[in-house]
Amino acid sequence: MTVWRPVIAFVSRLRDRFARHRLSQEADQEIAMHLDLLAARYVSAGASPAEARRMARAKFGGVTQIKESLRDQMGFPMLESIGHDLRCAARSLVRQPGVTALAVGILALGLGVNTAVLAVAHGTLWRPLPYPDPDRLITVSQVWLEDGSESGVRLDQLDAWNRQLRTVRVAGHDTRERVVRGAGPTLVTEVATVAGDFFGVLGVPAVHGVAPRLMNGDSRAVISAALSRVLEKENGGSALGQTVTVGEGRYDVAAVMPAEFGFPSANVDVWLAAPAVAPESSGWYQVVGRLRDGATFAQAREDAIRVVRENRDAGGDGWSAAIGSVEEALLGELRPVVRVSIAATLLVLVVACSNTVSLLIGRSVLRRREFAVRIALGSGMGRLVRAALVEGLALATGGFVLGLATAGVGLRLFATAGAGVVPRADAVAIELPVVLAGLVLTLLAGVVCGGASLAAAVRGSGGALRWGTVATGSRTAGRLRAGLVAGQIALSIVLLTGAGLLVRTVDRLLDEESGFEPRQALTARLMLADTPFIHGMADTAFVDTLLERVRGLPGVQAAGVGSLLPPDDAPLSVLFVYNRGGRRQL
Amino acid sequence: MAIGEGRTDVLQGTLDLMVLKTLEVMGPQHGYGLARRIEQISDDVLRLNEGTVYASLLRLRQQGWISASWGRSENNRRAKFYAITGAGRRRLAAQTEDWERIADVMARVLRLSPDS
Repeated sequence: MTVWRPVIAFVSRLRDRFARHRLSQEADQEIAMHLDLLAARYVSAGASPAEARRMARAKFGGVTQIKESLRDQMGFPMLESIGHDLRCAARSLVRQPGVTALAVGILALGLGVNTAVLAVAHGTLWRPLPYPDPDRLITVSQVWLEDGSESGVRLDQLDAWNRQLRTVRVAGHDTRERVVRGAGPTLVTEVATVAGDFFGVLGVPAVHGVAPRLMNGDSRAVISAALSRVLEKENGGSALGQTVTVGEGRYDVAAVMPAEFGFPSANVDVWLAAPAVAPESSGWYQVVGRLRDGATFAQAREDAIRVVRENRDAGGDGWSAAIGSVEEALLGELRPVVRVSIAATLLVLVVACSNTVSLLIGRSVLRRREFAVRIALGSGMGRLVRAALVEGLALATGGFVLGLATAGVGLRLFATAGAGVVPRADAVAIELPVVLAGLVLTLLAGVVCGGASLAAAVRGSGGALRWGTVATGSRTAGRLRAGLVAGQIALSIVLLTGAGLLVRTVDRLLDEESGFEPRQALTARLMLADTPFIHGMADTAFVDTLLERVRGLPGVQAAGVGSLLPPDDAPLSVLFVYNRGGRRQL
Repeated sequence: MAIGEGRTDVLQGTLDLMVLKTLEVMGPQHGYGLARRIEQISDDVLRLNEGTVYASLLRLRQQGWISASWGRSENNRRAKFYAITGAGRRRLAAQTEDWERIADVMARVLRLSPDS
C-alpha cells in the first residue's frame, strides 16, 4: 500500500489539475464562508462589522497566499512553468528561423561528430571483449633477447608447453588468407589453423553445434556466423554438416561461432585443425592462454620464462618469454587513435558551442529590451536563468537529434570502410550508453549556450530600458564576443595545425624516395587454390607461365611476383623481378 | 519558536495529523468547523493561521486519507464536508504511534539533569 501512495497522490494531483478551475472556485467559496463565520463571531462578541472583518482576515492569514498555494497544490507548478518556458523559447526561436536553423545546424555538427566518435570508441574499445573474463586472456611469446624479436611456439612443442606451464592453459593459432570454396563463388578469406584446446581457452561456446577440440589432421571445421549465412544462402539448409574446401582439404562444418567472436581477428571465417605433419616441418604458432584460477600476470611471466629456458637446453640463456594481454594485442593499436579522435571532436564541439554563443549574443542584443522589461515587471533572476537555459537546451536538443541522424549515416559508412581494418568495426552502433554520453554533452552545450546568451543579455539590460536603445551592442557584450572569437580562432588553429601536420606527414611520405617508382604500376594479389604460398623455386614453371602471359597483355612493359609489396618489409622475403630480358633475383 | 505570550506556532507536518485526528473523533467537518475544534482542543495555546487548514485538507485528500462531499452547514449554507477514510485511519494510527514514541523520548531527554 505504501508503495502505491505516491502514485495515488500523483494521480489525484493530476486529476485536480484538470479540475483546477472548478476546485479553485469551490475553495474560494469555502474561504469566503470561513471569513463570514469568523466575522459573525467577532460581531457577536461586540466588534463593529468593519473591525470584525479585519480581525477575521488576520486570524485566517494571507487570503491571497492561501489561495495561491492551494492553486499550486492542484497541479505541478514547477513542471507547468517549465512548459511555459519551453513555449516562450519555441516562440523566440521561431521568430528568428535563420539564426535558429544555423545554431541547430552548428550544434548538430558538433554533437553528431562527438556521438559518432563515442560510438566508435564504445563499439570497439570500451565494450568488454566477447570472451568470459577477457582480462584473464593473455598472449605468450618467446623473446630472443639479442634483438628483442618475438616469436610464437613451434607446433610440436605446444603440448609440452601445456604440460609444463602451471599458471596458464595455452592454445596455438596461425592465420593466413586462404581460398575457401563450397559457398557459392570462391572466397579469399582469413583461415586460422588452431592447436590445443583453442575454443576452450577462449571460453566461447558455439551458437550452432559444439566447437570441437580440433586435433591435428582433424577434418572438421568451425566457421564464423558470416560464413554460415553465406553457406545457408547458397546451399540451403543448415550450415552444420556442409562441406567447405580450404585449399585442397575438405572439411565438415562442426560448429558456427557467434557473430561477435573473431579471434585472432574479426576477419577469420574458418578455424581448422593444424595439419598433421612431421614434427620437424611443423610451423610456428602464436600462443593465446588463459590464466588458471588464482594465477597472476606476474606469475605467468615467471612461469613462461622458466618453460622457455627448459625447452631450449642449448643456448637457453639468450631467450626469454613475454606476456601480454589479449585486449592489448587486439585493441592496443586502436586506442591512441580513438583517444586523439575524441580529443579532436571535443574541440570541434567547443568551437561549435562558441559559434552558437556568438550567434545568440548577436541576437541577444535584440532581446535585451525583452529581458529589461521582464526584469522590470518583477521576473526573478531565477526565472530568467531558467528561461535562457531552457532555450539553450532546446537548441542543443534539436542539434543532438539532428546530430544523431548524421552520426547514424556516418557510422554506416565507417562500418563499411573500417571492416577488416578496425577491429569490431561492424559492431559499432549508437547504443544506449553512447546516447547517454551524447545527452550529457548536449546538456553541457545547452547550458553553455543558454548561460552565455543570458549573461550577454542581462549585462546590457539595465541600459536598454533606461535609454530605450535597441541594437547598439554594449561594451561588455562586445568584449564577450571578442573573447569568443579569439577563443574560436585559437581552437581552430589547434585543429588546423593538427590536420595540417598530418597532411604534411603524408605528403612527405609520398615525396620520400621510396626506391621504387609507383607510377604506372599495377598490382594484383594472387591466391592459389591449393596452397597459401607460392614457392619461388618449386613453382617456377607456374610463375614463368603466369608472367609470360601477363607480359603478353597489351601495354604491359614488365611484370614480376613477390611475397610482399613495398614499402612493407619482412625479415625474410624473396623478390623476383622478371624483365623482358630474362630473370633476375634480388 | 514561541513569540511572546506563551503561544506556540504549529509545527511543520503536525497540522495534517491534528486534522486527521479531529476528523476521526468528531466525524465529518467543514473547514471552519475544523478550525474551531482545533482551537478548542488546543485551549488557545496554538497560533494557527486558519487558512493553512485548507492546504492541509487538500494535501490529505490528494493522499486519499480524507474524502470531500458537499452538504449543508448548521446555518444552512452549502459547505464542503471532509471525512476520514479507511486509509486515513490506518495512517493516523501509524502516525500516532510515531508521535508518541518521539514525544516520550523528547520528554525523557528534556528531563535530564546534571545529577541524574
